[in-house]
Order: sequence, then C-alpha cells, then structure tokens
Amino acid sequence: MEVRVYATLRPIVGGRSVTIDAPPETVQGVIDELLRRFPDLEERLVEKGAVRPYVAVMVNGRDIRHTGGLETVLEPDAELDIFPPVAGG
Amino acid sequence: MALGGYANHVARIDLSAGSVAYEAINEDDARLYIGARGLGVKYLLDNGPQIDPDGVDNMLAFVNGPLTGTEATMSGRLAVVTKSPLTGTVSDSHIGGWSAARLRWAGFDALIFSGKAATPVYAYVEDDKVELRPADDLWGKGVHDTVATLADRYGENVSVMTIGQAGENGIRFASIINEDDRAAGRGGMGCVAGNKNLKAVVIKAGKDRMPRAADRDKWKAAHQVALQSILDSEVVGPKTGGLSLYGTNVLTNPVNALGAMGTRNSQTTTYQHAEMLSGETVRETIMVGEPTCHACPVACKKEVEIKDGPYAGLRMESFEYEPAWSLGANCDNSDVGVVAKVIDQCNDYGMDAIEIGNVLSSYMEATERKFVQGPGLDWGDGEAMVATAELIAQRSGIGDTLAEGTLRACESWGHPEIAMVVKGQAVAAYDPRGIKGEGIGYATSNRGACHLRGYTPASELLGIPIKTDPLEWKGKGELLKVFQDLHAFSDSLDLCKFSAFAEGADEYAAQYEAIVGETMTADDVMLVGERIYNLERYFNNQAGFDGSDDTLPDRFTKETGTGAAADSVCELDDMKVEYYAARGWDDGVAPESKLRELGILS
Repeated sequence: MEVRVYATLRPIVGGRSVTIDAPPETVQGVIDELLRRFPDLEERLVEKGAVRPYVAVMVNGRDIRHTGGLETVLEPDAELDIFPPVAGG
Repeated sequence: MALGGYANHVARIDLSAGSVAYEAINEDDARLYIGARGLGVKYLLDNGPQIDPDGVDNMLAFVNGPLTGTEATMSGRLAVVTKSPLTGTVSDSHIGGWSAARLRWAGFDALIFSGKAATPVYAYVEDDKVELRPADDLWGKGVHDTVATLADRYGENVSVMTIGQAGENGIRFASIINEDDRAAGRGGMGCVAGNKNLKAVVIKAGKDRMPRAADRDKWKAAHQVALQSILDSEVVGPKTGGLSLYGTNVLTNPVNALGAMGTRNSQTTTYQHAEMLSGETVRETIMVGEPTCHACPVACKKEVEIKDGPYAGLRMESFEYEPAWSLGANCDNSDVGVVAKVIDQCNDYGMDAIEIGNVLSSYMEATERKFVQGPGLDWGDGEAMVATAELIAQRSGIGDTLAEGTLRACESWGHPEIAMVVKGQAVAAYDPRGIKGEGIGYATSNRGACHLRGYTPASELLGIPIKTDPLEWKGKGELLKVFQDLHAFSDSLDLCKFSAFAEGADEYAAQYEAIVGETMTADDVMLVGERIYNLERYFNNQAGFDGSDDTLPDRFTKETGTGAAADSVCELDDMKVEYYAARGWDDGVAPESKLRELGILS
C-alpha cells in the first residue's frame, strides 16, 4: 500500500509517499506503522490517541472523520492520503 | 467625528467635470456598514441600483475599512466597488499589497469616481488631496510599464493601481492591478475604469500617518490576541503553516483528492496531473521568493521563475491556487510554464485569471463539440492558450467574442449550457459536486459565482469552526450564512480573509472596538455582517435579480462527478430552501420586514 502524504509531512518522511508492505486492516494500523517508522510524525498527526484537529486522513477521498475514524476498514485497493492542516482561497 | 479609525475624509471625483469634492464620513452609515465592502455598497446603492454598468453613471469606489493601514495584522486591503459590467450585480473586489495602507496614510477613507473623462487621466493622491492628471502617455501601456513609468515619476512611498490594455479595451473581466501584481481581480473593475478613461490611481504616502487606535490600552490587548492567534495557527502560522509555506496552491492536492477539481470545463472532477501544478511541486522546483502585504507575517504569495521550455526565465508572482486550477486542470494543461505565463499576461494586461481560465476552457469544449467554426482551441494547447489570451486583451479576432466573458461567449455560440457561471461570472476552483457548500455559495453569492463570499471549505476540508462532510448537503445552507456574514464583516474592516483561519468574530470585535472606540461584540459582528449581506441583496433585487438567478449550471446538478464525487450531484434546490429559511428571504428576495429588522430601511 502506498500512503501519500503532503505539504509539511513530506520532509518528515522524505518523499511523497510511504510504502507499507503488509497493509493493515484499519486506518489505525496505518497510523501506528507510520509513527513507528517516522516518530516525528506523532506531534503532527495524533493527539490523545486521535487524529489531530484539522488533519485530514482520507481513504478513497473520504475523510475518516465521516467514515468511522481510525477504525475505518481498508479494502485491499484502498487509496490513502494524509494532509496536515491546509487551507487557502 | 466621534468614531476613531477613520480619516473622516472622502473624495468624490467627477471625471466628466474634472472636479474633486471632499466630504466627511456619514457616521450613521459607518456604524451600520463599517467600511470597505459594506460602506462601498452603501455608496453604490445611493448611486442607484438600476444604472447601466457600462455607462457613465456607474460608480467606481476605492474604499478602506477602519482597520486598513493600521498595525492590525493582515490589514493591507481595500475594496473596489462597482456595478459589475460582467454580471450586472453589485460587486466588490479586494486588493492587497500596500495600496490600501498608502491610501489611508494619504488621509482617505474612500475615493469615489463618477462620470467619464474626456481624455485619459490618472488620479494623483497625496496629503489629503486628489488631482486629475493627463494619462495620454500611459494609455496603451500594460500594467508593468505603467507602474514603472509612474514609479520613476514620483519616487519612493508610491503605490500605483492601474489598468492595462484589457481595461482600456473594455474586456468585461478586466482587473485593476498594483505594483506588487496584486489584483482587484473579479467583476470587471478594470473595465469600469477603462470606460471612464481612468488609467490609474497613484498614491504617495509614508507610514508616518498610520492611524492610531481610539483606545490604546484596549488595542494593545486586542492586537496581541489576534497576532498570537495568527502566529500559533497550524494553517497560517508564518513559516510553519501550510498556507504560509506553500501558498494558496497547497489546496490543489486535497481538493483533487475530494473529487472537487473541475477538469476539462468541469466535465470531470479529478485531475490526474494535479501534483505537477501543486503548491508542493512549485515550492520544490520553481519558487524564488515569498512576498507579502502590509502588516502580514504570513507571506502566502509565491514568486516563481520558470526554468525551462519556451517561457524559461519568466519571473512572476503569484502562482496561486485559483489560476493553477483555472488554467491547469480546467483546461487540461499540466505545464507550469504555461500557467505562469498566462498569469503574467493577466497581471500585465489586467485581466481576471479565474474568468479567463473559464473562457478558455469553454472555448476548448466548444471546439471539441464543434460548436465553433475555424481551428478553435484544443485541450491543453499551452502555446495557443497564451496566444488566445493576447487576442482577448486586444479584442482581436476570436478574442473579441471571448472578451465578453464566459457566458456571453457561450451564448454567442448558441450553447450557454457549457458556461460554468452564476449570474454571468465564472466559477472558481471548487467543484460543487465534491464540496457541496460551494454549490449553494456560488449560487447565492451577490456578485456572481464566488468561492470567497462564504468560504465553506474551511469547514468541509479543514474543520473550522466544525468539521462537516463535503458530500452532505444538509446543514450547508445554514453553515453558508454564518460564513457569508462573518466574511462580510471582515471584508468591511478590511482584513484579509485568510485571517479567518485563525481569528473569529471575537477577535474582529475586539480590534474594531479598540480602533473605532465603539462597543462591538461577537454577536454584533454577525449582525452587521448579515446587514451588509442583505444590503447587497437589496441592491441586486432592485437591479432585477431574484431567486431564479441563484442557480448553477446543469452540469453540477444533473451530471455526477468523478473520484470521490463519482456518485454525487449538487443538491442545489434542497440547499436553497434551507438557506432562504436561514436568511428569511422570499425566493431570493430580501423582504421589507427583514430590511427594517436589520436597519437598512427605517
């Protein structure tokens, strides 16, 4: 599974995406794996065991805040994008 | 004058007579409508909502707010207000950089132009006075040459707001641009200036006349809270927030992921090459500078230099999200050099970079569907896009048709259904099948399609003030009203809209109260914003607009999107019912009872 990351997260992981060879069943598993490999992501992504406010974790373009949160189940072909707080106009 | 913050000095410039008269601010109007957008619309309403926007009776006003040019963070903005020649509605467009601050430091709350000069002129503003001076030598010049000529002529501490050839040639979406390439971009402000033979406004003023707060102690506290909220923000925080680091174009990737990136004239809602045009790629590959505006630590502007291809060596600002979309995905063009080149053309000729992208994309669709004769314009043909932009600015060949704007061009081909417009103004970079709040936002915007009247993506993407589902229509009418009212107030202060990613009604109220010296609560902020929004609607209603004009192209309401919006259409009718109920409007009309309740009618 390719987990795509954006903006201020890219310098932390050293690229546009992170490959996870054994895709977890839920988003929680993906976040756990990312934090294990890139501990500096923790302060950017999670707070008190949940995704930080304004951080958008999207599965197939759907923000997990509307699909069950970290327990959102990942299908084998799921596309996962993680955005730090971004906005503009 | 009892109110602090204002210069209490307005110039009325009659271009037909070549005369200038000065007047004070009407205090009652200032209390009701604040300044900038709100006060400007009041001036426009008093000028008459039924006048011909193309005629000499139209008014063009440059209006500051009470916070403009102060120490307030992000306070470098003014509103240009007119009856739009593109839409026939009320319109205001805000310009950044230092023009607004210098206008305030020169001693003015507003410059109000009427009539038409017999020959080209520019207005020279310094030390509480306005003079009209001949502009024959400037007529025919682009923005960049005009700015250079006037900067040489007047030296330091000068700002120039000018039109290019597009405004002179009556392009309906011509803009007014300043020395920093900041634009009063939308609504055809430059067209109105050109119709009046007004080439430019030149302001010479240093910050020694920066206004002071009515209550210094209150101001220190209010300013510190507002500034700290900006500094601490994860969105706009200087050198740390996504907007500060990557500019507005940080939105390209998330909006595309949401299935809200209109592609090929909104025939689909995802773009496979989005990454190539994104803020991340721009920062990594071509960014060379990060300019800012008066009193702004965020510096969201991104100056770029193209490194290869036919536009190698082009250095320009700013590579924003809106033109990255309008000239990128919307035209199926993934060449950053072409996007930068056409933005630079818009900056020099003085044209709205959103409208021109839609003009080009509709022309491309018309070509594909064989709605037009001749070679037309193919999707993604960058060289032809650049050539066509020049034809538009000069009103030459097909450019004469396209210069009329997206809707009129499509109507001339007999196919208005391919015009992605509301009230004659083209949509922006958020497809309402993937971000539904923008659907009701575009439809009910008082100035034609606009993403900024009520910026619901703050909630639908980010979660400010609460996270809402971008694919859910319920609640969006009520949510939009809140955003529209809040932004109507901040546009009247006049603070940059991006302040709202960190500040809210409490911070705005505290800053107003300290500067002006009048009591203002967060509830008052929302009430004043509602009043201003209704004032605009009252203008439009008298100009002949009603609920039948609060609509969207069928493409958004009947054809599904792609990607995350694959099963989605925009449920506009449902949202309109909710929105009108929240507004207390009858089918898009602000009733007399509402106007009296808000103090618009007495």
